[in-house]
Amino acid sequence: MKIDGEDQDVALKILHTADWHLGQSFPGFEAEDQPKLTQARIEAVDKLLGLAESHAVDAVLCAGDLFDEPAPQEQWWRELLKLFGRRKWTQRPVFLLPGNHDPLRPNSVWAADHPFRRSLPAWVHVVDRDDFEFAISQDAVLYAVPCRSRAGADDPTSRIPQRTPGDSRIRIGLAHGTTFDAKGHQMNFPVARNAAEQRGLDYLALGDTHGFREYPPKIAPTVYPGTPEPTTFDEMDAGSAAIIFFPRHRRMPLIHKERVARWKWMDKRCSSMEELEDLRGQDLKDCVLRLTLAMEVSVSERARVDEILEELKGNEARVGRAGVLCENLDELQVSVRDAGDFHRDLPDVLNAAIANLRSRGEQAGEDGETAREALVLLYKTLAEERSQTAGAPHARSGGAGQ
Amino acid sequence: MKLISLEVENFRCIRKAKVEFTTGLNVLYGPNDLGKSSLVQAIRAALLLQTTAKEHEEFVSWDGEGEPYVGFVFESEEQCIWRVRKTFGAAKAFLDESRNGIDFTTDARGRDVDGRLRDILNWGLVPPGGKDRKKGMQATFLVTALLGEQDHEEAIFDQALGSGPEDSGRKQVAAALQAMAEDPLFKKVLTRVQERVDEAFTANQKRRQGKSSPWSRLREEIEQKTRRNEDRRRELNETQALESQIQDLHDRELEAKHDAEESEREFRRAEVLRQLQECAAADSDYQESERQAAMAIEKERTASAAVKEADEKAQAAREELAKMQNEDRARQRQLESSRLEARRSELIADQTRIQSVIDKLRRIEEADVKVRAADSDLSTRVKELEKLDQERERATLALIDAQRQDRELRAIRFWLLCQEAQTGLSQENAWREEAAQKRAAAAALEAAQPKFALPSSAELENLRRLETDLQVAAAGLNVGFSVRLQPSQELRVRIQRDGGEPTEHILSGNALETSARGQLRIDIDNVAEIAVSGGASDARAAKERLEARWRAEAQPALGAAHVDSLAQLAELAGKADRRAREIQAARVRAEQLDQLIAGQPGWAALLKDRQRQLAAAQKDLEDPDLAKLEQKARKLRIADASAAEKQLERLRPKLETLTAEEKRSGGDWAAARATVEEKKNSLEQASADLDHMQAGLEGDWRQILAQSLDRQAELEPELAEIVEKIQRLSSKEDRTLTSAQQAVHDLDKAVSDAEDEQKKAAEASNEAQLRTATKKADLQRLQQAASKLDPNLVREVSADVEGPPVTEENIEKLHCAWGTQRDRVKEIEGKIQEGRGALQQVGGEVARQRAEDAARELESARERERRVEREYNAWQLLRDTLREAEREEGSNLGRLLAPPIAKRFTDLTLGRYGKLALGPDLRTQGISVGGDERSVSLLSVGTRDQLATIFRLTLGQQLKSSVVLDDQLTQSDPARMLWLRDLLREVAAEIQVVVFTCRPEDYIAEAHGVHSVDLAECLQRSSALERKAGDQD
Repeated sequence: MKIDGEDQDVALKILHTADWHLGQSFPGFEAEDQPKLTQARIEAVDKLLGLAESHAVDAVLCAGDLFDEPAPQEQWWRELLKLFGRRKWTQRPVFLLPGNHDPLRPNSVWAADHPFRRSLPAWVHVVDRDDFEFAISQDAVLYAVPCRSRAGADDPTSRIPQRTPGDSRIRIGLAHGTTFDAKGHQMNFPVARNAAEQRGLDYLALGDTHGFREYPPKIAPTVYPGTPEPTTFDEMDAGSAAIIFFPRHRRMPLIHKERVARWKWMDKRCSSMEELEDLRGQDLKDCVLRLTLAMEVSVSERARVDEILEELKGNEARVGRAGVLCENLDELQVSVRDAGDFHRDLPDVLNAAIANLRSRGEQAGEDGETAREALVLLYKTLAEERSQTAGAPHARSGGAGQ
Repeated sequence: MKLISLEVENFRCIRKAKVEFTTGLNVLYGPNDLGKSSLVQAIRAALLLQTTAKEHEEFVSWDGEGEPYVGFVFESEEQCIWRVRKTFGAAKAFLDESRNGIDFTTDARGRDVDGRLRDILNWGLVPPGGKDRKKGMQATFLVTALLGEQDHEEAIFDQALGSGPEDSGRKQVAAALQAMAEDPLFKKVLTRVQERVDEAFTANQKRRQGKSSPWSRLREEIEQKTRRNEDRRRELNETQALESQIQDLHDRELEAKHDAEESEREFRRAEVLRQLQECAAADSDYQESERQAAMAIEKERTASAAVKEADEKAQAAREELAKMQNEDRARQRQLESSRLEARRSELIADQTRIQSVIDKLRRIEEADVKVRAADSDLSTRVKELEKLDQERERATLALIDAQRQDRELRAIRFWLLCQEAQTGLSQENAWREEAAQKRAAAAALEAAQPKFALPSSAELENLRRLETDLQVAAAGLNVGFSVRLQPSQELRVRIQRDGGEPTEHILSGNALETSARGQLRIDIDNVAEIAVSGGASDARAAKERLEARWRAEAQPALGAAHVDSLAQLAELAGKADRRAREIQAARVRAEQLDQLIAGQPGWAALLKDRQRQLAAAQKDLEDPDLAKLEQKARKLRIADASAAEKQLERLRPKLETLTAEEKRSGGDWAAARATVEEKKNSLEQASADLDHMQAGLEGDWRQILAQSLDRQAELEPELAEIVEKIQRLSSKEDRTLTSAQQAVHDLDKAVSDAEDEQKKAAEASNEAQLRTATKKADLQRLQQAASKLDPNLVREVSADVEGPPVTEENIEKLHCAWGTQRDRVKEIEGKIQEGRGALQQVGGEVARQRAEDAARELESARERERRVEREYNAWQLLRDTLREAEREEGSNLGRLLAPPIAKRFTDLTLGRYGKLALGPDLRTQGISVGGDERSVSLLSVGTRDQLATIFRLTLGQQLKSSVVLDDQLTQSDPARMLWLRDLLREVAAEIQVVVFTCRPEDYIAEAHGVHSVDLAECLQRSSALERKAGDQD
């Protein structure tokens, strides 16, 4: 990356990240999917550190909520230690800031006597003082303020000293909190939008909001890099880190957004079988897919829907086509009007049962819904039976139960 | 049902019999009248007739002895063996149960036996006492089918299963036939469906429990998530309650701050207004003073101008007078000259007359004339000299007077300078005194300052923050909890809550529940001491650290100040601060005074010098009395040295003029005197010359001169008249001169008066200027203070400066009100800090996120439960629907049973008869003959018998039950009998078939596989029958 065409114009490069939420669980997902999402977070951190190396940044700023809990399970801090252990850095300090999810507390992972703290390499610095100050280089200084509780009404940046006359260094702030325009900011460490300008900072590195947000004021930018690995479907522009290039002579820094997330969280709504079949053909292996099916299908189509969903989701024998599938079938309606779903040569007793269920299934309400589902189950059971006894007299090619 | 054994006593024609049955085909044979049908009847009676029934009478032994007894053992299902023992007439009935057929236990007795048998058999029997139960032996469809009476075989065609769904016979048949009806695919599907249902439900349709149950897993997950959700919800509620509380407090804080700001504003406004009013008053004073000073200066200027004007007028008058006086002398000289001229003319006439008289004495006469002329000249010169002498004297006197005035003015000036120096010295001393007082006051205030170090405002702020943090930490510990103490024996306990006074309780069985906010100490006498603390250990540790900091940082300051709170400390610091400001103000004032004093010219030395100069000046004065000098100065209206200097300045030209005049008049006088001397010498020369010439004259020329003088004397009255005239003229001029002199005098007086006025005006002006300077200094001080005031406030109150004055009391009242509002704000801020501290513990936004996550998780789990529930309900519905369909199919029993019967019957009849039409309740409706359906009654007896047998055997086969055939098929031809025997064997392979017959050869042509019993060997007929037989024999 060049600024004004010359590398030597860059006085300082930093990587800014936040909200790793290591150890976060995803209980809203299927049990087999949860580890994928949780593990991806540590992989994202590995990518971040790789990014820091490839860009040869001068420092890595991690702006809080690095763990989902102040005292996470040992597995997660051990994994993080392993990642640090793989790097042989000496001139690239990494700053870890406690956030409101993992505040600096005596029994937290940040405590001086915690094995995590004791095992950190010398180039990893935990921000454990309100007056934390670190000279990143001769011309650049970092000020950082940790969170000491889950909630707080004070602006953490107010503790950063103001620029003194004659101080021409690059001044960088590191804090965790919510800017005044965000919901619930009052007790979530509210940060003034013009805090960077007030404190005489060239760059204010923040954490908390999971989407990438940037306030480029007239003088100094304030940036939320967002979480490197999204945590929900509702996060806008999540999954990145920020690499900041500070030109010489304190000119405006250049902010470069770099995607690191493994998972792409996708919200998809299908309103026809064609759309669903089309989706089935797409490459979804890196997707956390929330699939809403809003359509009316016949009994056989409904069975086909389940086939496709299983194909996307995978099973014990086969890996799913989608990374993680989270289906919403609330708007999926089954129509029992189509009489051709079942074979006509089925025994009378089964035909009688089908007729009975179809009749009930035409009713509205819960009973009708149960009857429709029972019809689908019958259809699928017959199909399974057919597949097990291929060529059985009651089976007919072209569909389950036929 | 399967028959195992039968024991009969005293039953109709049988005295005693005992028969054992086996599986398969049992052929019990014997001749007619042996009692075969009685045995079948005995079985029916054992199963179908109550011992008390009247119908038993037909079973009475033909011997008339003993009560009919039947003991019948059968197996209802595998390992379920029953023994019925009934003694009719004696109403004895027992039902025994056994698993092995050897050991029996009584299951029922008496009337209960028949009820139990009904349940075991499921033949559609009406329960004992039931309203539809007919008297005697019951004959249901299944009784007929399985245990039909001899000669009633065809009854099977006329009977039907009970219609009610509760009919046990119908149920049994339906269940049996459904198995037959099952389609393999249907069966597999049903099995699969049932398996899925069984995963979730028990046989009783209750949800399955246990680890493998999907409900348990879901329930457990939901319960876990519900608990978590409740915890998170509780946290959130606490958060919301705290946030709401904090918001309320913020609102109150805003209101209180607004009130406090208003109060402060009022207070500041009043202070500013007071200062501005002071400033305005000072400005007004200054302006007034300046105006007065200007007036005084103007007055002084006017007085000076008046003095100048008067002086000029006086000078003019004096000049006029001098001029007049000069003109008078000229006129006098002119007059004198005229007179002298006239007299000379007369004298010349006399001399001419004398000369004429003395013709001869011309030279004498001339000499005499010369002498006289010289003498006259001399006299003139002498007079001139006298006049000049007078002039010189006058000028000298005037000079002396002016010099005196000069000395006096100088003395006055020095005296005034002394006065000025004296005043300056007094002022300086006063300033010195004030400076000393200020310094003393500053020293006194400094002495009153605390000797210990008070914290600075920043330190105080730090301490306040520490106090807040401590309050927050303490609030975090005040979580509130309760302890329930259930004593197992009488206990004496002391309870101390939240550090309060301990209370003592004696517990003798009842539980004690107590609660505290942060700390609870329970001392159980001689047992234990329990200390309970609120909050997490880290929160306590944090609080202890803060307390340690408090002890280290705040308590020394509080202890040094001997106060208990930061508020008191702040008040002390505030007082000290105010005192420091007062000290500073006093010192500044003292320094200002020092600067003023330093700016003074050194009045003491100056005074000394001036006094010395005054003393020197006094020496030059005729009267050195200072009182007179002061009087003189007052008279001259000289108020200060400058006025004296001005007068001196004005006097200086006059003095110079007078000096020049004196010098000039001295010169004139000396010149005149030299002239007189010269004239005298000339006269003496002339007199000598005259004397010389007189020597030749007759008579003394003096006589002649005397005569001439006489003549002159004679001319004198005329001359006197002329002189008088001149004098009159001269007198007139004198009066004018006098007036002029009077005017000069008056003008001098006017000058003097004007000078007095000027002096007064100068004094007043000085005073006014001094006053103005003081006022100006005051004003500048106030303006300097006012310039530091808040310009907004100044603008705001500027309109009220003219309004009512602000008093100290007003200020104090407003300050108190402000203090009250500040206290209120502080109190609310304390509560907000407490709330925030608690909120910090609870979590705020984190708690909200966690609550949302937990709610989502719970909803997700519930949704999964709903989905699973819906699916299992669907499985259940599918199962039920399949079964219902199956039942529907199975309920038409005729449709199920007719085909196998028809098939057998068709085989038997070699296709003569086709499909048998059986109703849903198995009532025979007809049989297909050549495509037409015909009534069974149209068949031949033998064929009907065969059809009935096939019907019964097929049904028994489906029911897995024994079929008892009592002497049937007697009408069958050998061919059909052969076919039927094969059928019996085929059926007997599945079920027990018991045949009572008198033609055993029809059944046991091939002995193997057939259990044949010769009843003659196991049956004792009644003696009556034996006798009758004997009789016959």
